[in-house]
Amino acid sequence: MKETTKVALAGNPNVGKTVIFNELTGSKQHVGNWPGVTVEKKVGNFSHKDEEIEVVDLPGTYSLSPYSIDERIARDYIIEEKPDAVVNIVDASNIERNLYLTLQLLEAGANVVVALNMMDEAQKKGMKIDVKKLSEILKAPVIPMVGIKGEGVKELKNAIYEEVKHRREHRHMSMGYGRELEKGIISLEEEMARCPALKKYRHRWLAIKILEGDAEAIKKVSEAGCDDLIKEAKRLRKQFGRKLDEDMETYFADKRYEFVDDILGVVLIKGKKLWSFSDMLDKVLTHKVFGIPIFLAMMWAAFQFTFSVAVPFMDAIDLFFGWLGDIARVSITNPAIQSLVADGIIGGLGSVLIFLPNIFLLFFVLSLMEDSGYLARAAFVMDKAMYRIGLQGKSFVPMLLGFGCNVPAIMATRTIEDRKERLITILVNPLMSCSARLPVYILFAGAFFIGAEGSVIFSMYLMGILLAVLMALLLRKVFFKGKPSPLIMEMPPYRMPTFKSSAIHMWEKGSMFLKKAGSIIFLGVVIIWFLSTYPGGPGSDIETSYVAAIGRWVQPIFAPLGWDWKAAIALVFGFVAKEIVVGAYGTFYGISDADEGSTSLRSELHGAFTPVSAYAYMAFVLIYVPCLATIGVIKSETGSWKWTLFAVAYMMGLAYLVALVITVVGHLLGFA
Amino acid sequence: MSEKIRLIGIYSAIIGSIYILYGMLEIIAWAAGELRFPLSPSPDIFAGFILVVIGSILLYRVRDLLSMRYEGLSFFFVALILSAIIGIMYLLIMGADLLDATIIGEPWAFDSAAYNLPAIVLFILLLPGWLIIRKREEFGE
Repeated sequence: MKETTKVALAGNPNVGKTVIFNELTGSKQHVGNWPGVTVEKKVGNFSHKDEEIEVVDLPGTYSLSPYSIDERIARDYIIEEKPDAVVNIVDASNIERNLYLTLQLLEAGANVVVALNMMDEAQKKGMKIDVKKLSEILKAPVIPMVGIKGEGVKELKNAIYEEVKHRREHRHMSMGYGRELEKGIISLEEEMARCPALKKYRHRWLAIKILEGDAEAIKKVSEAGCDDLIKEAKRLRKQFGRKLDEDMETYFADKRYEFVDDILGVVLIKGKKLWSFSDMLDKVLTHKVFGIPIFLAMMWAAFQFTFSVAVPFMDAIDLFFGWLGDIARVSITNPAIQSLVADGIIGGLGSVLIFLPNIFLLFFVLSLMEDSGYLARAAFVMDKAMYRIGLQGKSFVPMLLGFGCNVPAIMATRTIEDRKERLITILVNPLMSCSARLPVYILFAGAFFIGAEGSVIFSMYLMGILLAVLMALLLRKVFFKGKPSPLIMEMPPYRMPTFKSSAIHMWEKGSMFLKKAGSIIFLGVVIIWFLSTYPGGPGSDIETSYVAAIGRWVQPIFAPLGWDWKAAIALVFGFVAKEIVVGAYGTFYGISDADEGSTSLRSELHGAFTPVSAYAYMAFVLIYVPCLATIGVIKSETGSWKWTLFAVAYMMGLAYLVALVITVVGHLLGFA
Repeated sequence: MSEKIRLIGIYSAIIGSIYILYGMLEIIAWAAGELRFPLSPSPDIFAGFILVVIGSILLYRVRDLLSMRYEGLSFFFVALILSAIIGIMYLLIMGADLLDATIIGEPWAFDSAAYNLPAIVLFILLLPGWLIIRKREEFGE
């Protein structure tokens, strides 16, 4: 059987790898306009002529010296899996920095095809690149492209086909590092030839890496049992280090940049410096005084929009489920099945699905902000504030992703090199309010804060950010002493977001909510319906049900906060997924009001909460454990039960404390 | 172009001051409860804060614009964008409410406080500023 041809997409962060991946494979992976969107490799396929090709989209990396987890994923794939070709996506408008990785890929022996992406941006900057000359120097095909418009995709497919078909493996461009050092490299290569276990690596690349002192490369050599080689490399490193008066890694890096400069001297004509529209925007959006207020203004507008514009769609869904419930009540005669379908499934699920428009709109707005390039500026603006609390701006990217869902947000911390910073970011990330909590806020804000719903919801998000800041500060002072590392972050160009791209992003994230509604939330509301209906059966008083018994058992814990047993039990079920809190209320009131017709859930809540206790309840939902999936991802990303249990414990404690403070202060200020 | 920049400076100063004034009134209306002013400001601390931010950005580099320095245009442009975001947002909210009233069969009435009329009016007053952006290629150094 013919082996599948494998092609990897590699490049610096935010050069359009995912765009080209989607163009090649026809998939709809999320494309972001900030570094770090791809933290895991993604796989897709396409066929071209007679070849079936598997494409792997690797996380962005600046070099083949891995400093963070995502960079290690990219390097390991290229070095260990040895794909048939590596498409190196190069941002033409930042060619100087991008070519560094190209040189390293060629040095590693990869069969490189250079996709010179964002040619339009380069042209806007007045840059002219001699593509043919560049291809001659690199001894690799170079394809000019504008990935986002699909320009050059056909040519890229042809180039990939030619590369994998003819497998021109012995055609690497090699750059020299000076006569003395070359002698050392060659002696190491000769020594390496005596280690059969190292045969799979390109010897020149491995020799350079161990001379650089690359810990991963040294480990590979050590595991192959070639300790003499390590000793020799160490001796040479010391010898050359003394002679050159700098460490070897820096020396090799400098030499590569010199070579890049030489190449660009031949192939690039730079345009005259223009004061671009991007420069003008950056001047204000990253301004030391206005940066943060502008960010807050944008976030407030996002939540105001999300809440208010969704209202007609919510009402339409509400009417639909009301109509569906009436039909179920009329057409199903068996009381148990009628109650299950009308009160449990339609009532419970309907009360959650009503928030679908809010969730879709929130993702749409966040996507617009991300695609425009603004979110990267927000991270930059926040860097100074983040540094003060012991984090760096890079931590802000996963924090912002947490507004969507904490699970991918915690996974996105892989871009953070420093383990301490990464742990702090993981531990505080659940405090960023994910979309699953939005239905709870909308329900309670709509019931108790009429006219100020958007601002009340925004205050929840602000509270989440403030608590995350405070917790990060505390964790840094108590458990993770030391200073954060400085932020090096590339600002992506501003781009006009397209409706198509934002709609795809909205659908990807929004459909996750729909899938949850069809699985775990569905199961949750059915269980809640059963516990709320029995042992008495349909039509019996909910106060005599199992759920009431469990709720009364839990309720004393929440008595100081003024919540009844229904509030307590909804929180218990919300431990699985936050949307179930609303689903539980939908089911409770569906059952209670089965005889009275469709009484509004919001008006029912007025009997159980005051504005103060409702606000405290919203705060509790914000802070306590987001969901089981988040706990799972904290465990997998920290690799520690200790930190996982710590996260659960501190969030529960903090949620209770904050809710209690709101209740006490609210009463002291004379609010009901 | 230089004379135009000076005009933009004067325009920025006037609109920026009104933005700040209404932003402050909205914050006061939120704190004090029932307050009524011409063009009813919405009693919302956050909405008021946003108007103050837009006004401050408009005023921040007015001096640059008055002395015909291009740098001040950056602040004018960002204020234009923020003003458009907030203004369009309120127009969309108004449209959504109108649609909602149609769906649930209730009458709809324009509420100047709910739709933050000052934010909409100021956004419309700033619209001519967009014509300047169309000529941004002139800003090459």
